[in-house]
Formats: sequence, C-alpha cells, structure tokens
Amino acid sequence: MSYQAKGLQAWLLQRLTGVFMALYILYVLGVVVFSESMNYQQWSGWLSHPLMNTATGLFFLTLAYHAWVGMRDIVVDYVPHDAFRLLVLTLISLFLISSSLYLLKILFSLTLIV
Amino acid sequence: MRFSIYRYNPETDSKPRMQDFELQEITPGLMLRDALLRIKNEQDESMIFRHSCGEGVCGSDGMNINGKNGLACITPLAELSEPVVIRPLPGLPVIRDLVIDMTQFLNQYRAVKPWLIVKDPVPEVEYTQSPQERDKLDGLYECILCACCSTSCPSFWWNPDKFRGPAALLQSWRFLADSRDQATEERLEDLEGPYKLFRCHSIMSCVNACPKHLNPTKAIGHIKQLMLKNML
Amino acid sequence: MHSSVHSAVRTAKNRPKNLNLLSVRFPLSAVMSVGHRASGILLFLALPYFLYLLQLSLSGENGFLQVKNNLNSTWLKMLMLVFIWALAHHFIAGIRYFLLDMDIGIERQTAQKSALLVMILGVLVTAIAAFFLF
Repeated sequence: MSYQAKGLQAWLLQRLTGVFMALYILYVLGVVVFSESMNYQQWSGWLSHPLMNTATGLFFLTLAYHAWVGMRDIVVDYVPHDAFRLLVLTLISLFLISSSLYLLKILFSLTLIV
Repeated sequence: MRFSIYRYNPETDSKPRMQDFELQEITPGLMLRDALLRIKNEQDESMIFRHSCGEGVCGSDGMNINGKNGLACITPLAELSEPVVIRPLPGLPVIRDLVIDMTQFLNQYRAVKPWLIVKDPVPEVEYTQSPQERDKLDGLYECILCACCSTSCPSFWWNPDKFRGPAALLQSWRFLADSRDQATEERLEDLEGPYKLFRCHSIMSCVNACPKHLNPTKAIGHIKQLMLKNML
Repeated sequence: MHSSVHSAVRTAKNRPKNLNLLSVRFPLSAVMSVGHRASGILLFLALPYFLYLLQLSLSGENGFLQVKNNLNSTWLKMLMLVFIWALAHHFIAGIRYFLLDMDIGIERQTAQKSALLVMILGVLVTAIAAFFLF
C-alpha cells in the first residue's frame, strides 16, 4: 500500500476492526458471564467448534492490526523520526506478528485433538 | 487582584520565569487585557504582549489564562480565580514574554491553500451561490486565526511541522464545503498520509478553546467523511 | 559597559516553548482521550500474559485447573481489575469515538458530557467486576 493511502485506510480499518472485536467480546462476555462455570471439556469443546475457532482466529488477527495502528500512532507522536523510531516500530510489529502466529497455532492444534 | 505572568527576555534570561504582580482598585467590567495594560504602564514597561482590536475579532491577544487558551480582551477579570496565571499559548516558540512565533502555525495555514480555486473561465458578473450553499460556510469563515485551538491540541504540540492542526484543517474544510471551489480532489489528496490530517484523534481540546465557538473537530470529521465517500 | 548577558544566550533556533503540562487545564474530553491511549497500551502489554493463560487453559485438565486456581490469588485479582478497567474504558471510549465519527455528540457541550459519562461507566464496570472477583 502506498504511503499516501495509509492515512485514510488505517483510520477506516481501525474502526472496522474495532466494531468486529466489540461484537466478539460482547458475545464471549455474554457466554462466560451468563453460563454456568465451565469445565475443561466444555471450554476446549467450545473453542474447537469450527465457527468459534475461526471467529477467535479472526479476532486475534484483527486485534493485531488494531493494536498495530494504535501503537504506531503513539510512537509517531512521541518518538522522534529516526533510527530508534524504526527500531521500536519493527519490534512492535514483530511482537504482534509472532503473537498472532502463536495464537493461530494454539487454535489449530485444538481442532486436531477434538 | 494578584497576577502571575510568564516572563522571558532572550537577551537577559537563560530560561523563562513567572513574575508576580498585584493590581489595586479593579473597576468592575474590566477585561484581562485592560489589567495587563495597567500592569505594563504602571509597574513594568518591559512586559510585552500582542493586542489590537480589544473586542475579540483580530485574534492578536491569544494567551493561556489560568490553564485555558483564550483572548485577553474578552476575558472578564471577574471570571478569573486568583492568582491569575498568564502564560503564552502552549507549544510554539516564545520570542519574548507572551509573544510567540506564529511561523509554524501560519505555514500550516498556507499549506491548505486557503483561497478559492476555480477552473472554469471567470464568469462575467460573479460566482453564484444559493443561500443554502452559503449557509454551509457558517461556523467556518468566522475563524480569526488566533491560534487558541491549534496551541491547545496535543497532537499539534508533538508534530507542529507535520500535522496541519485544527485551525488550518477547519479552513481546509471551509473551502471544501464551498460550492464555488473546484479543487476538491486536489485538496483531499493533499491531506493524505498519516500526519497532515490523521494526527487528529478527536481529543476536542480545540473545540473547548475556540473563543469564537467554532468546532474544528466537526470540520475535520467532515473531511474524513468526504475522503471516505470519494474512496468508495 | 557591564554586560549581564548569560553565556547561554538563546538564539531564534533555541527559543523555549510553554509546554509545562501541569500548567494546562485539560478539558474532560482530553482526559478521557489520555485514558483511551493509556488503556490501549495496557492492553497491548497484557497480550503475552493472556495468550499464556489461554494456552495453559487449553493444554489439558491440569493447565485448566491451574488457571482457575491462580485467578483466586488477591494479587492476580487486582491485576485483573486493572486490565478490566483498561478494556472497559477503551471499549466504551471507542464507542464514543465511533459515534463522533458519525457526527453524533460532536457539539461542544455534548462532547464534554459524553466524555464524563465514558469515564464514569469505565469505573462502574470495574467496580462491578471487583464485586464479583472479591
């Protein structure tokens, strides 16, 4: 994506990812708060169901993007435009990418067991 | 009435300091500018600040009054708690005392091309505009460029050279909203990227500070909506 | 002529700026905005911990019970409360920003009132969570 499109595109996706995550969080909160306390079977069963599994994976991917834009905004405000800023941004994106991969691995291996 | 005023003289001070003053016999109805002029004339001639019209229309005497940006000439003393703390508008270089360097602010204003851009041949009589179209400029044309808004904006503090700031962006919208202007695409393209417009996170300190009760956040929101509409 | 000019005389390139944040009176919308930013950072920093909890809870009966029992320590409950506040504030403030983008509540007075409401709701949700945790 060109530098030029990054302004509007990031702003829009920030909102869209926010909405998707809000809906997912409300759903999960609803289930956790209003259902009886779960045991391990119910918990892993719930998360390995294909729909829930996919939704959770999507949730974390959108979270990674949403967090990336948010953190980038903060860095751009406070860290001067130099090599150090580049380092910080790189570390943040590496962290988010590896977290997403780790999470996807957890979710995927869940579907293999059940 | 007690005052604490920011003082800085580059020729003698290595750093700014606050100086206390006291005024006796405050006549009712006095504005802050009147008090500052009395202090200057009666107690310390070296204290300087910009001011001109005295009625809140020229925008010269913007300053930070008890923590909030405003125009000294229309700020009644009766509404201020003591000691009245007067500081220059935040975030811009201080030349001396309460006088700040407006260069960055004015550069951003110039950068949004705050004039009508028409591509059609010049009409014989005038550029016509209906009353409804003219109404759209209300709340936009009244800006007096006092800089109270931009200097209250944290995003502008961190990036005054890259972020246009509320004042310039409000003016950008003033021309985008003007039915006679024909440079919509260029204006919107000029605002792309993560800095010029998108440093605005709707903190809304600008709306709170504007002495003319304008709403830069709303104007900036309209620009974003227009950009979105154009993209889709 | 006696010169009282300091050796560190400032030039035009060196002018000071009035950026003493303590001297600025921030409106409620700005305070709420700082909270939104701080809560975002907190949530970002909490990510590894929550990923660890999730992984542990899915690793087997033992892991699951471990997570459940751990969450009984007072220490961890306090930490949870901080994260719950962070999520609540960030979420509710996010809704307010989303509405602002659509010109809802964008007028001066309304915006300040809604900012206050957001902050109160965030604390309220945290208080309710505290009631259930403790």
